[in-house]
Amino acid sequence: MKMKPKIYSSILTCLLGLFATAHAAVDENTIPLDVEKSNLHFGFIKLTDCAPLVIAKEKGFFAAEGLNVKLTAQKNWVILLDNVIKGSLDGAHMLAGQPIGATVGVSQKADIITAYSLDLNGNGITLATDVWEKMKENVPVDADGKPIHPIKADALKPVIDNWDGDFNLGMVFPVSTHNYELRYWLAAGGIHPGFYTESDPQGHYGGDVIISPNAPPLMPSYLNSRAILGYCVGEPWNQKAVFAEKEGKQLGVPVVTNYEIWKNNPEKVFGVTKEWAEQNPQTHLAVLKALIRAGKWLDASSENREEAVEILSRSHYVGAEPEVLRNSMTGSFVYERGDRREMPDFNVFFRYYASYPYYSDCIWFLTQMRRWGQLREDKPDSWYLETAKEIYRPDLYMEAAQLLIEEENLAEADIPVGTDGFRPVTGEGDFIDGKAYNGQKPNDYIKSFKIRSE
Amino acid sequence: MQKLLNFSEKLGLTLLIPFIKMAMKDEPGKQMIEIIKMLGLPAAALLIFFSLWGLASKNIKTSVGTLPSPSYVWGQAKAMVADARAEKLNKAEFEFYEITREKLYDLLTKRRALEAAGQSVNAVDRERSQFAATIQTRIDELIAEEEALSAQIEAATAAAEKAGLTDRRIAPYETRVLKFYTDSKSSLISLLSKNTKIDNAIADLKSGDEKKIKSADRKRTAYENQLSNPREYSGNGSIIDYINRSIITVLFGFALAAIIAIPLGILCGMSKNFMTAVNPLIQTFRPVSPLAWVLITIQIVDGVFVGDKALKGDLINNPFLHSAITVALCSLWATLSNTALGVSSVSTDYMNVAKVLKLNWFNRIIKIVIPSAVPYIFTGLRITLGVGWMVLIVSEMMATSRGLGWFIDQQYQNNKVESLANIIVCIFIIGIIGAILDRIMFILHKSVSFNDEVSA
Amino acid sequence: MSAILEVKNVVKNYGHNGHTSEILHDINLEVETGEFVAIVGFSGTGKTTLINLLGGLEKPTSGTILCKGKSVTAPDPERGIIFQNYSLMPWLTVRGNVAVAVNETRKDLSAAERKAIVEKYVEMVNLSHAIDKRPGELSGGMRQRVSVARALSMNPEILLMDEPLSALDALTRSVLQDQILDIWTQEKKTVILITNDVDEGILMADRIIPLNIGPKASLGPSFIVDIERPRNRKTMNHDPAFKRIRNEVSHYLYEQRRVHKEDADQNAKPATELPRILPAHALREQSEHFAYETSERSYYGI
Repeated sequence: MKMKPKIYSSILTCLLGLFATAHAAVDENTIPLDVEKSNLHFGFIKLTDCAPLVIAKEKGFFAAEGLNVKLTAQKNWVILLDNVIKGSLDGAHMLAGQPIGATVGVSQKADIITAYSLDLNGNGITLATDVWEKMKENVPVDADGKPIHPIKADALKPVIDNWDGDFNLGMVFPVSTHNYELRYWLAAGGIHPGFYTESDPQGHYGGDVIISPNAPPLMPSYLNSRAILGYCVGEPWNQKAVFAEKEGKQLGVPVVTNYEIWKNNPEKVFGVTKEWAEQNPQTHLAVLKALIRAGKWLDASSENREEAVEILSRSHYVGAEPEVLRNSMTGSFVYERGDRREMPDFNVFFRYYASYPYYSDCIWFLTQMRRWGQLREDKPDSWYLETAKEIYRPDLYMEAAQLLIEEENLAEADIPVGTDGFRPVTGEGDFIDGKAYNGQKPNDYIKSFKIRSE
Repeated sequence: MQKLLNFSEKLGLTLLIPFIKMAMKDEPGKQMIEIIKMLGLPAAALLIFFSLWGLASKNIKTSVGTLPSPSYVWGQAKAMVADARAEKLNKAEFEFYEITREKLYDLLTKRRALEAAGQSVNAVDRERSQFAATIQTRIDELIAEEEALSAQIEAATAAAEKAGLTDRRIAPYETRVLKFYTDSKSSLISLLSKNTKIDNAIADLKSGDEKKIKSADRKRTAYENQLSNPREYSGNGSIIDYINRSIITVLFGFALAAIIAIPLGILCGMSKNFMTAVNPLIQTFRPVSPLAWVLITIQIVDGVFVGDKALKGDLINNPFLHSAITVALCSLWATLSNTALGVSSVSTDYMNVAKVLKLNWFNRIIKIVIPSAVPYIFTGLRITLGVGWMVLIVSEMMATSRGLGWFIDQQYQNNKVESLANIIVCIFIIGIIGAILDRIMFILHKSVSFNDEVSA
Repeated sequence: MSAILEVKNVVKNYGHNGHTSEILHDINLEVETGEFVAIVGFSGTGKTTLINLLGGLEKPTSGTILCKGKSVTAPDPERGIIFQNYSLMPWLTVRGNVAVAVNETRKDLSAAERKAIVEKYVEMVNLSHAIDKRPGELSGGMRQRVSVARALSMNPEILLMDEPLSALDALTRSVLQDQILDIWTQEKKTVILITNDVDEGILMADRIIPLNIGPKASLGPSFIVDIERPRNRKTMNHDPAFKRIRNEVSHYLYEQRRVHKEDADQNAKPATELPRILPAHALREQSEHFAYETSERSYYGI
């Protein structure tokens, strides 16, 4: 992977840009809140979607609120959540499922809330090249002979039906979006992904495949050693399989992105404990203000994205090469070699009200937890809404946004003014199976699935 | 000269001996051959090692790209040093900012006090505006520094482009320092702007406009509150910090191991029954991997030091305890068994003397048993420190204690060639520190052993 | 003069697993106060066992040992022992080695007085120049002098010497013999010297008793050394009394060995069984092995 000198110039431009834009401009209009705690320590995992936190720090949005924030990379999601629960971190970059799972007791039990969604989309499902080659025979092609997207799991079903031995797949975490997306995609194609039951807490019960959690950076190596035949993970680990080689072919083929499974699905959130939020309400607001501005900054221009790539590539943040980060941050995605397609919405931080914590997003995760058996009992629709209101706090988001609007750091158009906290019912092309998801009626939604845990 | 010779022998500096002997004119021909052997053979081995590595780096593909070559790793080592230097500068900048902020806040508090007492605030305002001017001077200095640095970086980049170099590490020190200067400048500008806003608010307070006064008062308080909050250093640390932390952790764990193992070992050596009783436990726990210990340690320590009791110091915090205790748990066995052996094998001659002198039980232990076991104890301690240092890296990875192990893990997660090179640099650092620690223990061991030969 | 030490019908067996062997058989001995007795015998005959019994480090299987009329059951500083291998604490200096004994036996004295005693005895063995050295820095003869100083510093009434000079070269040996004699003359202690050197016995002792060859070793008849003191080793060689005693003792010992050999040949058994004691160097090897094993195990543990 050779670096073209051109890249120096772009890095240099970024660096020089950095020192040209003084922070003074950032806090020009800010009216600081009377924060309870000015020195904060947040955790993150080395993934591109921690960007709003990093940008809020590096571009001075935290400083403008009088916050002195330290960001520390955490080893994995369990340790990260542990550190938040026990208070050694004030807050963290979390999987959307984490605060929900923690609150309803699917994973570590704790009251975690979120008032800020960090991003939408950003994941993909990659299969081993030989699996793809078998599957490809069932995939319809266009006039140029390229597969028609989105590729559905229907094409994979005959391969699995005739597969000799276990069909192992990897995902990131039991309550992560990856788990639900992978299962959703498989089930939409008639493949049983397995249920979580009392006797099978691993979630393999009745499955045509065996889905297990693995560390994201290790997924390509596991694919290489055939410990798994495919995985669902965030970037850069799908692109890595494209560029890595095995027996003269690419190691794996990303077949579908989660954008294609569910357009603009929620991915990561900024989570704090309920207790922390109650003890530090002004601080929490100040953090939200900074994050909203960081999110807006990230989606404001491609120059900003380029600068974000440079900042994220620093060793103590995401640390990957800028070329790799740029791939997912700047809107195109390689499926097979030679099949690069535009994906302008692969990583969304602010557009489509991405950072607003919709109740409907939270409820979707709850429906999936129920669907796969992580929640064992049926609950009334009202329970879903009450639980969502406990965990998702759009009220706090709105309060912070209002302050920003007063300061003229945010426009009314940037926030979903007057929303009831529910996204509109999804349309024909939103989910890969064309299902209409109405967050107000979670039980109807769950019952609409053929494959679901009783 | 002879003294120097003895000294080198004592320190195990076998490399020096032929040089000293040569200076003493002791068979110079033979010494010459010895020197050639002692320097030449390792040099040859190193050369072979590095050329094999160089060859391998051209052919071996890692998951992040080709294996970094020795020269690439050397470049990365230099970049790490540059980082450490820049980090030091960043700390200095941080301290400067804190002092400045405190002074400014002091002046504002004084003004408030004078206002409350109804006295003139002119003097303190004058002082404040003078102080603001000095801050501005510093900002101007930083801007000049920035310009100089970016010119340097630009020149270096142009040169690299011209030479067609393919790595990213151009002017690493300047790049880092530029960023720190920029941050520092922004912080100071923001300090000044808050000061100005407070001035504006004070001006507004005099305007007589009811509404304006209310919001001005709120603003003034808010800005002053911001200035009152001390900042904690939020830099990322450098290799020097990681090394320091690792060494302190291993020494802490080592001390803990010694405190546990030596008394237990003495008991085991003194009493056959005690030994029989605890031996199964020792044999069971001794081979347990640090990976297992660290997990238990994390759970227990976090259970004890939880919530408000959690240790949140920069150095002494929960992860520090996790890794130090893991080091102790994995490494104490060598000291325990060697102490037990030393105590149980105390020469019957010494015990006969003790009997003739009618030494009581306590005096026998203090005056005969322990001193005679000291060489054994030090053999054990030397192994303990060696094992502890090895275990430390793993336990820091697991416990996320910010030492070398943590740094390696972070680099691993970065998944790029530079990070791989950083890991290789760390391996050398770990090896060299391990060797130095072992040498220190060797010297200590030698100094307490009376007649046994200590192997270097 | 009365007997300070009386040994009556002492038998000493060593045994394990039902197999016992009698090392010493029917030992009888009376030593007068102030007397210098040498017990001479071949190596492996149980001389060290005898000294250990007299010192109280071991207990007889049967029979009694009386010191000043009281039964000997445990070691006591009143019977100072000078060991064959010096038994100095290698971690202590000369001063420290002597001080251990003085501090323990003269608890009634002040620190300064004890210090003076230490220095006195170190000077008595002519080691004042080396008082702050450790045993590792001293020669064998010097070490044995430290051992002598330590034994004397306890102010014992009886000095038990277990082949104190056997490990030394001839010259050092003769110097130390003279020194011990000088001290004996000054201090007037009762001395029991165990030696394998008949000449040494004749030079130093009032009475020589051979120890018959074991197992079942017993004491032979006493040979009185009636040579005027101070004895001069140069002129003594020509002294007819010296020649006579030497002849008598040597003759007795050789006769003993001849008889024993015939017995042994008949029984086709080894003459003496070596005691089963691990030599010091073997012990050290064992310990190194142990340490190595420990480290290796730990390495694999990771």
